[in-house]
Amino acid sequence: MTLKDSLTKKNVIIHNFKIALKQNIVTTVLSIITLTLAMAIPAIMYLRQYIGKDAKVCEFSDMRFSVVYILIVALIGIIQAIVTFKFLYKRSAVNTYFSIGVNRSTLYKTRVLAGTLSTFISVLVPFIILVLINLVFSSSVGLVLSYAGFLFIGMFVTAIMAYAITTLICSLTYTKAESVIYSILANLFPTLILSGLNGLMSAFLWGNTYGINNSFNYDFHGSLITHYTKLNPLLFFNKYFSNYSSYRESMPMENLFRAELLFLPIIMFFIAILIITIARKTFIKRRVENTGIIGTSKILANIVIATAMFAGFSAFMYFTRTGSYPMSVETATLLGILFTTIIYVSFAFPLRVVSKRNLKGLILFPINLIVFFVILGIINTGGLGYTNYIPELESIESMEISYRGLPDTALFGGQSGGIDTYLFENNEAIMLKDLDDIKLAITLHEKLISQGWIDPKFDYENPKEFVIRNMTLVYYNLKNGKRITRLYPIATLGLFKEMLILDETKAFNILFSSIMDINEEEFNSIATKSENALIIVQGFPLATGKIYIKESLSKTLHLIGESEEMANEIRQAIKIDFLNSITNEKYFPNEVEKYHLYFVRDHYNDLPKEIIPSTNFQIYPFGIVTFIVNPTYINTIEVIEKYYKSEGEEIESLYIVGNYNDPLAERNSTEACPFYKTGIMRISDALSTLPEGFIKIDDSEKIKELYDLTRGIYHISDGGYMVYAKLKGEFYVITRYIPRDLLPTEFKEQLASK
Amino acid sequence: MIEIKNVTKKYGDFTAIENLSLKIEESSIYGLVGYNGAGKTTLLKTAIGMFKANKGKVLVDGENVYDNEEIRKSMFFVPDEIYFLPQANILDMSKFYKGFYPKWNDNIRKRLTELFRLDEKERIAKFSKGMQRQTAIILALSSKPKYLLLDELFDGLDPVIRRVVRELLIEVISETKTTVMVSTHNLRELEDLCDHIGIINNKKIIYDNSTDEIGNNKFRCKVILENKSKLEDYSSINLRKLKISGKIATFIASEREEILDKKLALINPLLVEKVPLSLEEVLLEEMEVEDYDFKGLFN
Repeated sequence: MTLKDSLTKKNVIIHNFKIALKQNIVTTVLSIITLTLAMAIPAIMYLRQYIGKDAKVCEFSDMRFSVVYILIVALIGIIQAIVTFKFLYKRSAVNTYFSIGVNRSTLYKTRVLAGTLSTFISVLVPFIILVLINLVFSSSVGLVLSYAGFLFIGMFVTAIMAYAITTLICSLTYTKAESVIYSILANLFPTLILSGLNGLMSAFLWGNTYGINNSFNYDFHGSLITHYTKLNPLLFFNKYFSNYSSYRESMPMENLFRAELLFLPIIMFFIAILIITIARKTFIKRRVENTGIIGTSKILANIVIATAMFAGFSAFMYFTRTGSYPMSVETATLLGILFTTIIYVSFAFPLRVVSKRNLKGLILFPINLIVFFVILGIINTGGLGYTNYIPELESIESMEISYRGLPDTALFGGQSGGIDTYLFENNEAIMLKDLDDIKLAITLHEKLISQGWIDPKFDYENPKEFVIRNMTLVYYNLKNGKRITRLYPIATLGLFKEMLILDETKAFNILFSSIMDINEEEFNSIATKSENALIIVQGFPLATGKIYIKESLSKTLHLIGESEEMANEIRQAIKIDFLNSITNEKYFPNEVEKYHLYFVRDHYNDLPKEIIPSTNFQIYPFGIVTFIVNPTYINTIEVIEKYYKSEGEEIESLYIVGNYNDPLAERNSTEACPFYKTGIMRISDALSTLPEGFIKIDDSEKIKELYDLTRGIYHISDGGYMVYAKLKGEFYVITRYIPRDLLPTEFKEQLASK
Repeated sequence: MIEIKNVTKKYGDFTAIENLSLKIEESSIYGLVGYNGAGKTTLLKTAIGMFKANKGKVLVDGENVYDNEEIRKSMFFVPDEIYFLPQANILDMSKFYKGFYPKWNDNIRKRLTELFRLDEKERIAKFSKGMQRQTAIILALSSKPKYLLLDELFDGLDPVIRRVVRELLIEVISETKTTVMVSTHNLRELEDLCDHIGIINNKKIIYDNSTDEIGNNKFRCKVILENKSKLEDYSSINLRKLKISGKIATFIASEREEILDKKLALINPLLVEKVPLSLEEVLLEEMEVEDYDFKGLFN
């Protein structure tokens, strides 16, 4: 090549580059405006509180919406690529660009270079603006620049990755519509596949812990998407962006930027370069004669359609199996096939993968379905050993398990639902380290595994076989540092009751003792050292709160543990009684309870004077724990009666309302209790609205006989009977429960005849 | 020189041109004629190196043209669907092409713009179809290509402009030794313009000859014999569409004139009427155009 040729070639490259760059200008300007506004507005909103404070802070966006920023940046990459290669979809433009004095490789390279530069500018300018904004408020230039530099690199690589993927798609497609649809789906490909798999796992894999809604801070690994986020070209920077989009001086040091954090963006950048290189080859081999003809990229179309089908199929299966009205597997499957067919038809025909004249492509539809069902089959039969896996006993360092016993109801604090308060699952798992404790827990875990997926069921003739939705967590911490997690969202009432035996583990004994022994000063130091720290902290009202007493047939509270000595005396008595009781006595006492104790933290001492009556461990707004004193708690009763004299309330009349079933006091649902549309708390003060037809008893002897049959909240799990006790001279009613087996036959018959 | 050697080009299952060979000499104007969809555009796009042949190759100055940057700097293709940058005027398009064609000449562009009376600052999108084609011709000639490929050259041009374009091309060849390959439906324009004509039909070049030869080897003949004409009388002549009615026979002979005369002399005709076929007649003849039956179509 002569010097003149070389110069001519260089000029052609520069000329072609300028043309491409010019075509991307509008997109670049719009991208800059969009990204700048999206990031700067929340940043300024936050930073303005530091006006004149010379603070060491920086803020580049609203970290809560990191995914939105990631998507904006990815979209910039996608649009820049489509604009860069839009000429490929216009026949006349192709006639020109592929006949002028520039070869395909140079054409591609100069275009990509122009598109990359446009993308770079689109992301860089907003960050420069954000840096300037931050420098107005922040005292640390270094901090602002290092954070901005890191965020920019990550976001630019995200955009370039989207750009590279879209470039590859553009080089393989021949119409603009296809390039747009396929590019979006290709960028979402890992996300769609992983969410599809996760959807099926959530609905069909017994014990699955991926993709669980983490509203209780379960220590899981997130969804498959978050678990494999580092491998996801679209979302790999999401977590980093969320973590490093702002800095406060109060942040722990480990959140400071470190150079090694650049490793992943650099790796992703090279992957993007690799994709761009592959796209160059497909661009060079491009059959320009197909320009403007839809349906010529059949392989790509089939991959994309299969992905969309799979995502739709699994989403449908997920919602039909786990939604408010779960369907049977058979119904869900049939509807899933129908839904998937709709997806297939709505893609395959418009994209000309199949046409009336060419029905060959239809063969892929059943093939796709077969693949989906094979995946579903693998997941539904235990995910290649996932469901049945229990680590070897020798390899287990410790184990954690949650159950609906005292730790879950009393120690863990309650959840306030606004007007009403419910016993609510917290599912903090108790840590077991003793070998016998672990063996016991493994036995229970095996029962959970063998139970498998079952549909919710309420057979009033067979309460033990009630099937209840309630999360049970199982963790294994292995000696090699690994952590095995399992979650079981449903089980029979019988199994839940069986699991109450975990109260007899050494771990529970130590935990309960330590809570009852802690004094206010020691609380924080002990709680933070304990392996069950969270349980202890959440059990703080029981450990340190003021003690109020209420009789079973009363609505009035009295402070009983005025002095610390008295309170400690009561706690010690409770500790002895509770730990000496066998599980069945604690939860299913043979006699009606005597007192309710309320443990209230000082700063929550505004307890209402007329509290809604409760029947057993009842959690009130955070900071208050109730404790039911059974007649077998001799020591506790003795201490209480040393300081408190019974007032004695009389029942004027008793109403037997009917079956009330609220297994584990979990839902207050109409499903559990077909008679009532509202929860048990509201029913309790609803005398004036009582419907007619219930059995009313006025005879005092009969009232006493029946009242003595009433029991605590665990009995309502058995499909027992709800009873209203109206107190003499009061408008108020107390809600009580009579276990199913204890209600005399005559009343059962009377109820049945109504 | 453009050499098209055994080129086959397929679109999926459809074969557009098959095993097609052609040679276009330098400084000539080659006219390509054929039905709609016969493969003219495919041939041109393969010749410019835009399409990759499934079989065979196209050599320009001895080099394979496909995706050949250097060769293509000396070639300009004006397609049937002309592309202009969005909102561009002639000046913008000049800048666009100037970067790709080292021999670009702004003077030619200016003079031709004046010649065609176009406003070079007006957006091309506002131009009529004919004006846009004129613009494409201006841009093509301004790039001073060695090879100029023109698809449907006269589409949308009025008769005056057609004449101007024809003269322009002749001038270009005479002055710059440019080789022109042009496809069109307008046979009359080709007849006057081209020095070589190729007819493409049924995926192949079925006729490839100089325009001078066209009038010299295809004749419509009427022969009157003394006695009743017989088929055997004409068996030595390469002919088609022979019709005998008593002493009179009519046919189309594909023979050089002197050979035809000799062969006819052997049957002692009383009278011979011999008219050379026009290009259009040659095309219809070569492509064996059938008679369409429209009777009753609109009843």
